[in-house]
Amino acid sequence: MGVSFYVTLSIYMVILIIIGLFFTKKSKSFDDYFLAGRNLGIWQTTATNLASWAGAGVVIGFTGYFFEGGYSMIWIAIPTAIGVYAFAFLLSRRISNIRQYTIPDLLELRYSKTAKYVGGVFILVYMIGLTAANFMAAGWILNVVTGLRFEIGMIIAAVVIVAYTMMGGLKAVAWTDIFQWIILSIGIILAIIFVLMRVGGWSEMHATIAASEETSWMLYPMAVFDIKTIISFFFIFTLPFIIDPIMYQRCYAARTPRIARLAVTYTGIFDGFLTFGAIVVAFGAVIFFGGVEGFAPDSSFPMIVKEVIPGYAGVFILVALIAAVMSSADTTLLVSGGTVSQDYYRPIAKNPSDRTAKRITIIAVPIIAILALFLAWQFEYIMEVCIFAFSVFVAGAVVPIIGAFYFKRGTNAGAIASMIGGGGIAIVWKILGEPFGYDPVIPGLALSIILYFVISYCTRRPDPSKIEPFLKSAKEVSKDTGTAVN
Amino acid sequence: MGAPNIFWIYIAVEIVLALAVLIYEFAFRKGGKKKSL
Repeated sequence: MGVSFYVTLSIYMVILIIIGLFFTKKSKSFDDYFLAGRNLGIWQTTATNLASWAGAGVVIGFTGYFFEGGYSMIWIAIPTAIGVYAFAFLLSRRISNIRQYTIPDLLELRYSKTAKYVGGVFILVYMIGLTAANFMAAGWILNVVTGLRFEIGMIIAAVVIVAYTMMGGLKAVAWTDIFQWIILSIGIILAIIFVLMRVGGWSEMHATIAASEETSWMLYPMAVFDIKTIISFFFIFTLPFIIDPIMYQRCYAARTPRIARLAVTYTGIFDGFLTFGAIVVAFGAVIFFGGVEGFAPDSSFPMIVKEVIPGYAGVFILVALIAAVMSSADTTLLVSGGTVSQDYYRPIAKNPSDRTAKRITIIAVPIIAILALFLAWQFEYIMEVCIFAFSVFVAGAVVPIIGAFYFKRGTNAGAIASMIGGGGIAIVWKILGEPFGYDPVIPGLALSIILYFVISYCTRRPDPSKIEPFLKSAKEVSKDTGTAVN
Repeated sequence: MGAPNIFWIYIAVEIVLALAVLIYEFAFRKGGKKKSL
């Protein structure tokens, strides 16, 4: 596998850099750089959603989780699916019509500058968490394939991702995403076929797991989590996707509201396919490596490719895995960079030129990458980082964002108190070691809801001009016009 | 020995929700025009 892997990976990385360089000249304005000129078609929007979605969390982290917990992990997949389709149905068109840049922009439009700054902190924590998870996944792949230390693998992947993200912005990311998505889809299909062939098929795979006393519990969905944890999962994994900054950016960048909604829906369908792939590969790993002492669950996918899938197919799938990780990390970096320039630098510098805003985004990207690497060092498992990031983000940001669209009476004071109170208690809850066995999202979200509604009703009604853009898009939905009117 | 019921419940959730959104979009909404400024 050695030489062919390095050659394929090098060709792949060179293609990415060429795409990045090509779009450096094409991305003149901030709109071009950050939102691809708001002109993405259906396949570009879908591919960029899918490729960004199918990152470390889904492909590698999820496989690791199924390896450790069997079918209990379906309690993560179900709320994730509900979250994606709820976003497609309830918000994708509305967001597409509002034409902002980031979620904090939306918070400013609806509440105030202060709400924007506070919301930006939660977006950054979330995005840095996801970037860290992707860097960890890249580290594991390179560790398994090359024997490089996990940490060194992370740094190498981070440098390449930062390089092409800095060059071309979303236009480059959208095109590299199409390329990466095609490679990933072929890779996952190959992995499913080869693993099922080796274990004797879908039924035989389950029969083998059921036959062993050590693994038969994996087929029971209630084997690992109690009902409290499963309820937490419905908050942790449904709500982040309703307010996911990546999906918002893609909806802003889609040419029409319909493209925005369809792209999100297709993302949900592809997520189902990935979950199926994760189950097959994880159970294959249980059969082949289940008894190996010290086997790292997060290395299940790369290990099965290395040991079970022969020849060039294995090389191709490993490169596909790297594609999945890279295409997600570039997006989380770009969205983080956009948040820094659009939500903090622009208002502080008082309307700098588009060129300067673009430059600040570019400068922010490597800084965010360094913070993500630092965060990745603090966690053992990929999904652990994802869950921490999801919990803080949901507890802090979900109520005022959904309230912006659906609760006319929501005020600036209510939103700020809800973000600081909800997000703050989630972090404190985590530091205290999750008292009473509840995930931080439960107390955080509860406090966030209470503060938002109580303080909103205790303070003056918001100015109608603040609500108008949100209601306008709601009216458009009900009138069934299908496009924005103005 | 196939997959447990929870797997098929997950597949059903995926199919039902995806179809619901697609049918709603194509049957009840117009689309295709560019967003306004």
